[in-house]
Amino acid sequence: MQKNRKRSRRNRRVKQQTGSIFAVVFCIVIVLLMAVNILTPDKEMSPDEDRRLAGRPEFYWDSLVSGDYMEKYEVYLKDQFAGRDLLRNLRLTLNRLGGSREENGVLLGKGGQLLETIAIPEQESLTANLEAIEKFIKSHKNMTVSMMLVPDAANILNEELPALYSVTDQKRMIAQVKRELEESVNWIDVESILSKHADEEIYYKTDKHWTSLGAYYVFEESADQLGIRKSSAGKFATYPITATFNGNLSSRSGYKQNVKEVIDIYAQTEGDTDVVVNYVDEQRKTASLYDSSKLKNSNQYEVFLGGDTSVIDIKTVSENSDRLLVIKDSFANSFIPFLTPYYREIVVVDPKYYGGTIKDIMDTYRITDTLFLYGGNTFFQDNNISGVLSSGQ
Amino acid sequence: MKRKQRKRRDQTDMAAVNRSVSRAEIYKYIMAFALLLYIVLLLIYSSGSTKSFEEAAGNVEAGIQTDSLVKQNAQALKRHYGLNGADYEGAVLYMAEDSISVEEILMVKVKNDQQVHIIQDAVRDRVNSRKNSLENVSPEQVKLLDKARILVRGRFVFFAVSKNAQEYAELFTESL
Amino acid sequence: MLFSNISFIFIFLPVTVLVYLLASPKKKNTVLLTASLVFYAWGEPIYVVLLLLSAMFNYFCGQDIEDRRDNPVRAKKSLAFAIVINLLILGFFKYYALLMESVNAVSPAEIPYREFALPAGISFYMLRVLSYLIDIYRGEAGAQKRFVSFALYLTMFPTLPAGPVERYAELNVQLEKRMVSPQRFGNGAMLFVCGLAKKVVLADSLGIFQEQITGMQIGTFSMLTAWIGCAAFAFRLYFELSGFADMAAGLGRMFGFEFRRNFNYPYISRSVTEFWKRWNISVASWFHIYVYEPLGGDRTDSFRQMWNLLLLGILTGFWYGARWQFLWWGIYFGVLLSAERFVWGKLLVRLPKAVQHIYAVIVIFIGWAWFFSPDLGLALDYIGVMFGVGASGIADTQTLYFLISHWLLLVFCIVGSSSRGTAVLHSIIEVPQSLQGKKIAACVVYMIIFIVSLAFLVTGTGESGLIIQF
Repeated sequence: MQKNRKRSRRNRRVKQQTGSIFAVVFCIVIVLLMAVNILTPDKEMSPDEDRRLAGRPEFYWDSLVSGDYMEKYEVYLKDQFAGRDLLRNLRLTLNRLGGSREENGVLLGKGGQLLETIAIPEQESLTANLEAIEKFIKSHKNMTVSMMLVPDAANILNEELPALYSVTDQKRMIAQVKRELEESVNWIDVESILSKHADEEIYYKTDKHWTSLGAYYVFEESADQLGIRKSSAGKFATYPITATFNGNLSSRSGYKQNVKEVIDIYAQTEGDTDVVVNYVDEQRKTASLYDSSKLKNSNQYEVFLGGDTSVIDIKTVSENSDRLLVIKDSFANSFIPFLTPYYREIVVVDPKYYGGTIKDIMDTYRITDTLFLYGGNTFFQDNNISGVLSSGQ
Repeated sequence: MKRKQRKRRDQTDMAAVNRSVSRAEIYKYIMAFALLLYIVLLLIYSSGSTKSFEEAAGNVEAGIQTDSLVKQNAQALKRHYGLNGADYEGAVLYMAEDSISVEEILMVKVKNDQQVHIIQDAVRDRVNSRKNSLENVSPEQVKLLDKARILVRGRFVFFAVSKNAQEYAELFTESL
Repeated sequence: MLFSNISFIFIFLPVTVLVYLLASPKKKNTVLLTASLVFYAWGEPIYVVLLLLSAMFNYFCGQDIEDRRDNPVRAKKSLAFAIVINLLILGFFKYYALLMESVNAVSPAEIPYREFALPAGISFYMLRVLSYLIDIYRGEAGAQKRFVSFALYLTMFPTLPAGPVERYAELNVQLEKRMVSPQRFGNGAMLFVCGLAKKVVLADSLGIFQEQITGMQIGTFSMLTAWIGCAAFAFRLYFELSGFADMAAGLGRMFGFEFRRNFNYPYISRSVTEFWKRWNISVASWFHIYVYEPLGGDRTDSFRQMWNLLLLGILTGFWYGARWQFLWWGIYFGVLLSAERFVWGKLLVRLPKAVQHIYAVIVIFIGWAWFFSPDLGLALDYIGVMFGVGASGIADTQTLYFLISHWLLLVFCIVGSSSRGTAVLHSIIEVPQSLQGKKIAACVVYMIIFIVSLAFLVTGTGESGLIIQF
């Protein structure tokens, strides 16, 4: 009885006196963090997260009145918080301890394989895109239009998914698109090709894209369907162009940031490999399909064609006189090097960045074939295709 | 003597009490009126509208002088503002035929509130880039840019650069 | 601005505390009032004018009611006028859209209407205003002569965004006389840190978890998964609201105010009646004092009581949100309260305590389906899945995946929902033998909680949460 009373009195004293000490500790910590934040200069980019960090927002009266300035200021404070990378790692470690295998749309699979979660399409945009594609095909009846929808890793690498995870069925979504367009388009079944090689390194471990090996397999087994007659010009040798690649899935999620991967390029061994790569809107020309300046950034996948941009006009020295139009997302960037021996000209259009109409393209270039090449998630979340294809027709 | 003083004191007290009673009451009604006025002002100047984009835009487009301004297609929005029309409920853009003229009208209805800031930023960037390219070429055009009107009403965003910018802005607020 | 903003914790709070401590005692309330207006204007630049105008209006209304106290008829008229104007304003901003939507649903033509953003904290603010006016009318308090103190009562920033709703009669003394001490300041800071962790670590993580499940199409997930999703929301709502309540109480204490607890471990309740006394206590007791009691309370006959309980439920539901499904939530609880009082209350008490607890949890969690579903139909569909209708089985690997990938979070939820949570915390602090050691241990523990909260706050998704719709 006495002990209990003594203990509760002691507890109360602990509580009271802790208050005074914690008051001091709390104030010191807040002031210290404030000081550190004010004294450290603002950073422009975060290499770990592979994105630009918000700078101090510019002041405008209307953005103050609408509350926009305050919201931007809060984002600025968060992005520039001192020790942000440490705090991020703390949060991610705690989440992982708590069993989480998913962060910011990225799954942490077995064997260190990162996979992007499968996106569910927004029906309105999907229908609009499909209709636009059909209309495009109908208005160019003499041209072969091929379509490659590349399923994402989560749908092919079933063994690598986190334990017990139920993945959204992208195969069904792709089959639905195939059904819709089967009659008009030259459909290439990428899914079965990749499934055959599922136990090889056909997707990067830290990036959502397929590896050059994966692209190569698809090229080899779809060349006939694309109407390509393989010649001796189409012999390739692989060279690693970098061994320090850490992909976009890693920077988005914070998983496996220390892993370094190899990017291979497939170079033609025979024949003339000269190309002129014309970045039309930027009015810049280069002589290589690969932009080695991108190897200095965190997103090294951009070494292929320098990343995504509105229109790229590639002129080759191929004996073939066909001219190909590729409407694509970033997956195509590592596929196009396989096509350069077989087309005199390849016009590459990314609807996300292209502000013109398809009519402008068709009028400017004498296109003989068209290829749609998209990764599954990008295609099902896209609402730019219909804009490019339907306007100006 | 004392009773008279007390009576007078009581009378002045009563008068004081009566006076303070009416004062609170008067102020009460004044403040109620001020509240009403404020709400009316909000309605006129800052409320959004659930009107459909087609209806509101239709009213505005009817009043645009099409001899100098040309309606642009969806891709122009992307080219000049970096905005994808399909992201929003509705968007319409008018630009001048003449490439030197800065006359431009943009009207967008967004799907959610976050997008309002995206549009505002895009408009600001557009104004700045036009100013930069025309700074030494045509100072009158730059002045027009300075007087450009940007209005945000709920989920509608309206932007007009023109010598008639004020009329267009009023046309917009009326069509909500 | 919310308490979980960096700009609040590292800019607004230090500056306000500094100015407050340096100010003379007479000016302290003015400092707090100015800070509160800045706090509100940061998040609602246009509506801060509304706040000021309303405060001035109600100041004079309160004075007017008191002046007429000798004449009950005139006093009542004055009160009625004040209440009507206040409710019209609340009704306009919060319920106008609902009214127009309902009109459009039945009318042949679609009538477009003006849209307004909801002023933050308006629901809590209105309860506070009405409590002031009614308390003066009833003579339970005198009208506040100083405008600064009155405006402070209405708008003080700890209670502005999310309550608690303190009755004026209970707070008016503290407006003039309160004690700030390093001890209370530190205790307030500890409470604030706990609240912050509840919101940014627990509630926000639960939010992502819950939305993954409740966003799935009906028919694609199993019965047990549905229950997990519902539980995730239940905990999310609890930790977010009680987190904000803790932060409010902590901030108040830092400035010398003592507020009453707003949440008392509601999920350990063994009946709906008990839950109603442990959840959002200040709001529930507001409705009890100002609506239920005047209508007769427990003194009238059974039929009247049942009707009053139903009304209580409906009003509370509508107070939470301006959508029809909140109405259904209110009806649901109103019926349950009546049923417990008149139908199965006595039977319930005779059951073993564990069974009572399970009954209460099941019944309460089902109610939340109306909160997280976007509309009434989907709410009913979801509840259906919870009972096997339209479910893809009782349990599947997906259920197991959800449980395993959030096991620690769920453990924290269950432990943190009862006083066992604080007991665990205290036992960690008790580890060192000496008094000095215990104090250091306490500081270390709370600092760790603060740093972890910062990690989640700075690098998390930054969702404001559910609180913004009140």
